[in-house]
Amino acid sequence: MSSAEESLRAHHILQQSELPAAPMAMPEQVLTRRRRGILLRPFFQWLALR
Amino acid sequence: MVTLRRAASIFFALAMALTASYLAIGYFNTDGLQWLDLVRVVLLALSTAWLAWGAVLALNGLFSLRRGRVPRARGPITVKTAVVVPVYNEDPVKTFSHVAAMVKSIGRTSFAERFDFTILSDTTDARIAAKEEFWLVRLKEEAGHICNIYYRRRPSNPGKKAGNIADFIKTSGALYDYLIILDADSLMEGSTMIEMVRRMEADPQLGLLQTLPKVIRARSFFGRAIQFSASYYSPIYAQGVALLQGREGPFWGHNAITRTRAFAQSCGLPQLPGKPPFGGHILSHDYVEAALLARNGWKVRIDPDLRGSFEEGPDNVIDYAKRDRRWCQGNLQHSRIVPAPGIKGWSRFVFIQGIMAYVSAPLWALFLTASIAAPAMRVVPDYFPVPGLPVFPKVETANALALLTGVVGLLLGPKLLILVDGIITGRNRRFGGGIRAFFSVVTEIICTSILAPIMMLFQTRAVIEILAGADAGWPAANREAGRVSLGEAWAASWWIVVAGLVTIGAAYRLAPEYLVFVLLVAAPQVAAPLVISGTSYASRALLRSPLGLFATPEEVTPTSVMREQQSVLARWRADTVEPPLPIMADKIAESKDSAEVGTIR
Repeated sequence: MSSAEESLRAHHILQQSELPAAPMAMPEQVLTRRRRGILLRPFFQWLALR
Repeated sequence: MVTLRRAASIFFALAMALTASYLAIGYFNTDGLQWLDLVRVVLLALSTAWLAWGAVLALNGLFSLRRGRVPRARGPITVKTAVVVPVYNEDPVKTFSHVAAMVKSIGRTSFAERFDFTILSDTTDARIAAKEEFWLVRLKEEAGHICNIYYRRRPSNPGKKAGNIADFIKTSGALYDYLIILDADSLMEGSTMIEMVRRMEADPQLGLLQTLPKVIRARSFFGRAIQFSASYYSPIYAQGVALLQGREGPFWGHNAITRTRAFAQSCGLPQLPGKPPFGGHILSHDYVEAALLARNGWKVRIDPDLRGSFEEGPDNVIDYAKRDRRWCQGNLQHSRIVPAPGIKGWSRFVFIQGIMAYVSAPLWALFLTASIAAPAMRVVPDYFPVPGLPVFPKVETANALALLTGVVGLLLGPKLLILVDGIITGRNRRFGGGIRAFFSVVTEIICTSILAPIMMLFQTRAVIEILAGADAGWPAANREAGRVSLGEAWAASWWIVVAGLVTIGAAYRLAPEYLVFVLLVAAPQVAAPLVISGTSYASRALLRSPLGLFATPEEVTPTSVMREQQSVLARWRADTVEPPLPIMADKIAESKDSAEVGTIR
């Protein structure tokens, strides 16, 4: 087999190896808690106004 | 029942820590308690609790009633499974020979069409990427008629290994009921894969099933000691883990099967806020994925009885320390995830165990430092608290001896008990017989005792670096590394030699009475380059010696997939000449652009 033929065959095999498309959702998980500071934010805003 | 076992095991570890503290206080009090003594007691208590936890896992494993093989299920398999092999700059010929052997192994069963193999490349090195494509063609010629074999390369590697698998699920996950997640160096018998699928089918709540991979193909003295240790002790420890796992078992990132739906629903990992080492991508994603599966109500389980699951390990201390550096960063990063909402209590405890696995090293180092410094802070005893009536301080030698015996017992006891168990159950026959197993265990203990002070400093440095904000990145594993020359060993460990010499000098000046004990720790550190270089030399000849040192069942009698992989690799290396790089120039040019997008640290 010539080098060109071999290259073509390799290209064909690589094309055949592509992953089949069948998407599945993978939602991002929550790992961090809401900062407690946020709860105090209205208080600090009120304090800043005084 | 699991709660009771967990409580009893934690109680044992805490009781050991309290006993050690009590004995230490008695001993340190000989010349009056100083603040440094109290620091030593706290450090000793934490370190002893950690040692005792290791011992309690072994004890649980030894006295478990579930040991032995579970009867295998039979019947047809109608589900579809993807065998996922993520690669990252590894040697393609070797990795692909592993895939070829596994495909052939599954081909010997009646269920080959139920399995697809997918090689998920995150390779950033353009030359290696070009070789991957070359060897993929060879792989498909060899085994493409047995199963579907897919290959995909990401232009960059966001999320690293976890991101690689997530990308696959987002692209093709809906096709598959299960994913068998492997590493580039993993090897698994086809029959084991089928058994894993059947166990998943038998329990619809099971989200992930982990096997205990055996380490294989070690060549050096160090590698074979690790291999023996993994083969001889680990099944007992894993049985202990299994006994305490409940629904929150471990995931070690590879050689496991997961339910695609459960994994997709639970394991989409976010980036942690902030910069590495504590922020950014989650490095040790496996522990987190196990915790997230459990949080969503899925069972995570390890079945140590599953055979035919293999991996390779580092063959020298330097590669081991490099891997440890990465794992250390990953585990310390978990401190950010311990308080995550909804995580099960046991999963949080597992995170803390992972952190302790590395923090224990600086704790021991601090204890040693404090113990050398303590005598310098000693106050001169008052022999005459009452004029004319001398009172001599009570020497608590018995306390010191009991403490020493206890710590050594926690360190060596489990290993010796596993040896005794091997004699009673006949398990030692698989390791060359009782006498050979005895010599292997003794040599392994000596080897570990010499290496432990060196590893303590590598791990201490890793912890300090991470706390100082240094990021290790994600270096590719190097399983093919050969010998470490003395020069290379010196370059990697000169600072350990210095630390050892400083320790000896300090002990000589400040605590000469402890010098002998200090030498047990510091002498191996001073000899670190010799130890690192010496243990990296090939030692398979030891297997053929009358002692059959470190013989493992897999080394003595390789399984069919192991033999197949060796045969494929030998043939490929002998009869296939990789094309010179210019022929691949177009691919390299193409890959270079994308590689630059990737992260190489």
